[in-house]
Amino acid sequence: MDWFPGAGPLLLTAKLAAITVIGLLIVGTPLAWWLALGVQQNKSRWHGYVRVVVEALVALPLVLPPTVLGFYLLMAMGANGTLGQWWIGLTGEPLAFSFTGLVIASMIYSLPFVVQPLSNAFQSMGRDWMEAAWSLGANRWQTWLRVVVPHCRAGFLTATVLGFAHTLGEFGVVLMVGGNIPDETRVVSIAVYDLVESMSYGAAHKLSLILLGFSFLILILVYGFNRRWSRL
Amino acid sequence: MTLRYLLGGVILILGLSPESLVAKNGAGTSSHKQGNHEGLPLRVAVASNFSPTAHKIVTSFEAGTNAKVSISSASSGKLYAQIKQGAPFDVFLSADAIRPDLLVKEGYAVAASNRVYAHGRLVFWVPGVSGNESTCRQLLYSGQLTRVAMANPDVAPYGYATRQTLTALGLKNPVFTLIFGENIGQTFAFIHAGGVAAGFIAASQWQLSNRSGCAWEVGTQYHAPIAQRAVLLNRASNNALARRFLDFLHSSKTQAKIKASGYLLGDQ
Repeated sequence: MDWFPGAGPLLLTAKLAAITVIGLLIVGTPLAWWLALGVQQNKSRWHGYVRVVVEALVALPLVLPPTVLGFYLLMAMGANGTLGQWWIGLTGEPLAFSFTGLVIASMIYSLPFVVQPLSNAFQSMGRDWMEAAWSLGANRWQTWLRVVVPHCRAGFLTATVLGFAHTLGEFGVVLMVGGNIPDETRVVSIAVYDLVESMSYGAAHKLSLILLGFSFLILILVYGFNRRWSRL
Repeated sequence: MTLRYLLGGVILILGLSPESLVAKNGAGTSSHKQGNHEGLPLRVAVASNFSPTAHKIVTSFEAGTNAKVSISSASSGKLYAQIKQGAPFDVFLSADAIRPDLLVKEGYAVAASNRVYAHGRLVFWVPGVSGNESTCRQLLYSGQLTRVAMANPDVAPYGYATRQTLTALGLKNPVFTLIFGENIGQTFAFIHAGGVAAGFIAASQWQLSNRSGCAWEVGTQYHAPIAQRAVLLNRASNNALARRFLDFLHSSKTQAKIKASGYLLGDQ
């Protein structure tokens, strides 16, 4: 890892973004499903209200300044926070300033970027396709794998890529709860900040350029796929 | 189909996670419990102004001891807050005396370890104008400069010293606009990038720069000394390696290195 100061942070960031996205797909898919289609089964007014509140909560990280989110997370996950103390009891270390803490913070921070595309995809698919599959004798699992996932693949792709890319670009939250610890919480954005602060402009340039190229490539890929798939 | 490849790619990235992570942390975060220091890197929190010098010191410390030291840098204020929230640092090299003193008072650091390791010096730098120290200093009064960068006096020790200097120079209400960097590292970056034509930076940064233009080394008669203190944090109170690092920091050999990097020496 010594050949380039950015190698450690790059791998750490990729790992963080990948784990965050997988976690978010697991948590976010049922949530998006419920937001898009779940409520229609029970059309009571009460459910409508809950839905609006949940939708607003999901979108909150889009609007909140990362410093606000980071400050609350630091308070919750630090040595004096409820979550932090529980974690200290479990592992002996506070949740803040650890990789696990970063994963939790990133999942909250990138939640809307995964849930919203999925929710939109489910909504535009509607129930008709699934009902057709059921009436043809497919069970829930078959319906999910053969109808829903292929139908909503553009939504899944967008959710995956946006969730991944948004976690790559995370800065304010990590700065608050991460603590800039090499191989643990020093992600690329923090490493660039750190290199600039300590006057290593050459390395900062290199690392920034890699991130710029990678982000551009990711977006080209996602728009390219979306274009192809929307024509099918 | 394509989705399957995509998921495969994500799993591949997971598999490529830094091997060093696993190797260094052993059984993961659970091994960080107090009292167990074997195989763990020594974690040093360093105020940004001292970070380039700290890297040099750490390199020679590592060579002499075979130990692994990791450096985390940020502004002293941010590091102070993180330490109070339980950040896993063993040693704290602050840019001031206030925060280490507070940490000792509040029970987060070992009182006996609290010592000055360097005194910071200020330099007024104008990269675009050539001349000697006095012409450089006169630029402050000339009206030629529209904007001057300095570190934020409320959070950065170098900013506090800059404000004292400006007051001492009779420039409490200067004709130029003051641009505040969050810390001295950002202040230097403002000037280096050409965004601001002049500013007050740390002498250690001036040493590392290309030293273009003119510079005035602000004497210590203009501001209270920027005493930078280092403390051993409580979690490392039984960590022999951390104590060894502090001894190394205060050793005459390292102190000479610190002086050569643009600081005045600590308490003798």
